[in-house]
Amino acid sequence: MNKPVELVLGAGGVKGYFHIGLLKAIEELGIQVGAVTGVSVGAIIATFYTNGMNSDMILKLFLEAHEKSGNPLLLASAVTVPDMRSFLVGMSFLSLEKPWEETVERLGLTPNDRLRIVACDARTKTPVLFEGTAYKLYAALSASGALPGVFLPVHHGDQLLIDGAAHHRNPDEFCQTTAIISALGFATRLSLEPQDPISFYYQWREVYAPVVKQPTEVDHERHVVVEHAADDICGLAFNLSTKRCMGMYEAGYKHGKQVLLQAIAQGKIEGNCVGSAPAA
Amino acid sequence: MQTLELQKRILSFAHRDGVAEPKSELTVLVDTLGLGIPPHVLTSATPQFVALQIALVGGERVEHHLDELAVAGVITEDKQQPL
Repeated sequence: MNKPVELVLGAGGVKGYFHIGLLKAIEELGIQVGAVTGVSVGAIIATFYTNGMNSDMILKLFLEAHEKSGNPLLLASAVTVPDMRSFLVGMSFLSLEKPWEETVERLGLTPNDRLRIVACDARTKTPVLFEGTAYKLYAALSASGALPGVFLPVHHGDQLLIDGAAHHRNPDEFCQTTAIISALGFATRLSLEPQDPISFYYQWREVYAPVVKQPTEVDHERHVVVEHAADDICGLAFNLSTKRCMGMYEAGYKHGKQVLLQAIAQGKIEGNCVGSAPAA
Repeated sequence: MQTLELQKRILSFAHRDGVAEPKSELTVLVDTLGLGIPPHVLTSATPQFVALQIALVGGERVEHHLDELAVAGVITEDKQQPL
């Protein structure tokens, strides 16, 4: 049996399809995964994965959810009247807590010893780590994805928690061993594809005026870093076609497999090098 | 049928009238259809998650199986308990 590595799945909204493609490559190469650290969309995928779903299952659920993402009823369930302190941090009327509470209950998801979810204290910008089994999973998932300007923060004792990416987009600091880090890049230009006004606004914000600074530096010496590039897709572009979503999945698989095969050849991680590296 | 709708139908089947242990029903369903779901998931996961895995792995096969049970009168929609 190959020696397990850890996995860090970074923030990046709809670009999480890259993570799922990388998971497919990890499965094919027989790489054993221990603890999984996730932020924002990475936390969602980490939760599914550590609960026992494989990449095919996660992809199917994501695609089905994507088909429904234009449903205004989904947005309606997130609308809430915030307290003043939360509103000043989040500048929004949308909370992820109720939708995630319903989803976690319906899917029967549970916290587990392999899962780490990273959120961020809104005041100090220090990380808040959810690990073990004694916490509310829906609260952790809500906090980890609560990007200010889009979603309200989550109350956690005296703290208000926001998207873990405000601390670090790909936090490797919690890893005990070598990790595979799946890093989702930022949009750096506007899309040439037609967009609805809300998606266009979020794309413009990500390119020209990001709401929060999101550090990305990771330890390249210690870890295997898989950087996924999609410079015309912003994390909140939820109106993307299924074809583009599948394109991200396939790119995550191909590029991920190349990087992993190289890391196995270098002896940085253990896996089964069957077949050759896929074409880029 | 969408996965979450099928999951709901599977749970409804497992909780139908006369079933003492709904989770055992899910295990029987997995064995009957030969679905490759790891034993540790069957024993340690929540019934909702097991049903979700059955829906994801089995898909149309599960759907057809439940249809056949309904036609055979083994289960009827009106006898299934609400979740």
